[in-house]
Amino acid sequence: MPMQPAPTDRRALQTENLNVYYRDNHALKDANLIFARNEITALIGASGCGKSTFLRCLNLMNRQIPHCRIEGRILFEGTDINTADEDVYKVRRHIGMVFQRPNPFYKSIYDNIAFAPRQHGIRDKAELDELVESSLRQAALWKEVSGKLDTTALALSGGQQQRLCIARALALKPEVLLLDEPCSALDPRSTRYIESLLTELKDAYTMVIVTHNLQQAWRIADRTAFFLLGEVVEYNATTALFTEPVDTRTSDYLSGRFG
Amino acid sequence: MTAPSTPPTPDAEGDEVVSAAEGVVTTALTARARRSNTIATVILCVIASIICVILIGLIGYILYNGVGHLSWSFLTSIPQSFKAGGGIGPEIFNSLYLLVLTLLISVPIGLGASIYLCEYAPDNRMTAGIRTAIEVLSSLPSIVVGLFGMLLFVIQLGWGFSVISGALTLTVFNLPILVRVIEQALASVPSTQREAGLALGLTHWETMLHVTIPAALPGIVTSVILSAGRVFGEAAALIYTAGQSAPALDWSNWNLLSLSCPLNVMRPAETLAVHIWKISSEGIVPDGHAVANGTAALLIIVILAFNLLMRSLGAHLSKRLTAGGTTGREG
Ligand SMILES: Nc1ncnc2c1ncn2[C@@H]1O[C@H](COP(=O)(O)OP(=O)(O)O)[C@@H](O)[C@H]1O
Ligand SMILES: [Mg+2]
Repeated sequence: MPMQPAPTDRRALQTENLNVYYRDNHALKDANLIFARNEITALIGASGCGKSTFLRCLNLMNRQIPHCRIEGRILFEGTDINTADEDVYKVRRHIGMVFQRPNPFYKSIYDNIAFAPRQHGIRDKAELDELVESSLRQAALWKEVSGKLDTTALALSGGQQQRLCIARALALKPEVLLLDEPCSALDPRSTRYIESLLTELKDAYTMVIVTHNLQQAWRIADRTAFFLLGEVVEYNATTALFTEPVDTRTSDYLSGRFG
Repeated sequence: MTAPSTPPTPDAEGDEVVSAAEGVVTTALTARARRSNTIATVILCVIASIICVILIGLIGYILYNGVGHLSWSFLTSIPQSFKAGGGIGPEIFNSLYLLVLTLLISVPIGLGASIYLCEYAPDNRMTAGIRTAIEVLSSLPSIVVGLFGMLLFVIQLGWGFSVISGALTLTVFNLPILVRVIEQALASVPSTQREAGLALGLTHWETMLHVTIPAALPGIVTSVILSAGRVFGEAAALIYTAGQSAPALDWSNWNLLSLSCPLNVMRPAETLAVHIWKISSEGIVPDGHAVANGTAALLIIVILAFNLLMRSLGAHLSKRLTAGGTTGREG
């Protein structure tokens, strides 16, 4: 596989020979990827080629699926988290996730953010207030909602809801943020807004984003991995992958010949 | 350095082509579509009106015949066995008492069972069997449930015709439906909600308790209140379990073993629905007809009130959860 690894000293997350099976469907084959700290990595490829499957391995969400088998190593800050005795709840606090459709809780804006930290033991009201405000500011949502924190989150627009979901993930102060097509349900303006938001967040977080939108990968990602039928075909710096793809399957996909 | 090639976007142009082609055949098609639309609308309106007329007629008939008999003394005095002028005071209390007891027993069990079935039960033969059993039980005729209750609680356990026999029988009657509807309410919460909770490092239990159940709450409340209406109006399951006699209640008597103590669960407790059945089938009071009519009217009014309560509570809950609270706007 043509691939340009990230510098060793900046590895936040790495997979080694990662294989995923849903019963006998071999959905992910020998994925070896390295994600560098404070970079955005985009995962592109046609529907059903295993991008979400791969992403959901990284925070062990796939463990929720009874018939799903995950083999291989997932190194987070150098240690393998794909072990039987790993604390999945701790992993998920450090590796946040944002989903395809905005999925705010049926709660107030405030509680959407404060709920998880409260469950994880932060009880101090002032500390929670502060956390809610800083998370909303980071997600560029504070100005729009600061006056109505105790109204329900479901009244927000789709783009605002998705930023709320980002804020909710950030409130746990994770190191890594996984985003599974976070803009696919949003209009172009909200999409641009979230893209510039992600670019700003890069200074503090490592991000892996699945996207259907090639322009989006081009605009925001430092590195891009191309998936095809459960395989990582090519992984490189975004500019290199888009302008000088090594594998013909990559260039075929980029020029819209299939997928 | 060039930007990546744009993936083809057929949608924008494709739409116009289709609408242009449509234009040619539009007139003939729309004329036909309009006509069948009109016919369908008329038929549906007729069916809907027939149903409305039947329902309003029925409720109107019951209220028309019964409301006149409702008076303070009728609602508070004790029933008579041989002479006119009896009331339904104890029956009202018995109905409410049985309802409360039944809900106290069946709601926690129903919640637990449906949470287990919806969230934890593995997808195997046994749970499929349990689901089938629940389906079957929920369509069991209530007289069968009543006879089962009589055999088990009244005879086998020796509790006689009593509040507790009635409440447990009503629980058997109520539980299967309650489990089914609560499970449906839980299952209708999008799985993305559970994913959101789990992805924040919450356990399955925390997610269920604080995310899934609150989201399903309007549905759960609605189903509990609807089942309450069913329980309140139930007669057949109670005739041979809670019994057909209503001892006079003495509100100053708090000896739980005494027959006249309202809260004594071992005393027989005829309810409103059973009273209607008894008065009109084997009653010998001269004003039996009027008493039955009055009782029926009261029953209808209470059940209507239940339904209105259900609607406003459900609407209130889902409004609070989805449309935004009334506070907070001003910040
Ligand atoms: N929960 C699941 N159970 C069984 N098969 C699944 C599940 N999720 C995904 N798959 C299968 O895994 C393959 C990859 O799917 P996915 O990772 O969702 O692709 P992508 O996100 O790239 O569209 C598909 O063949 C899909 O059918
Ligand atoms: Mg996907």
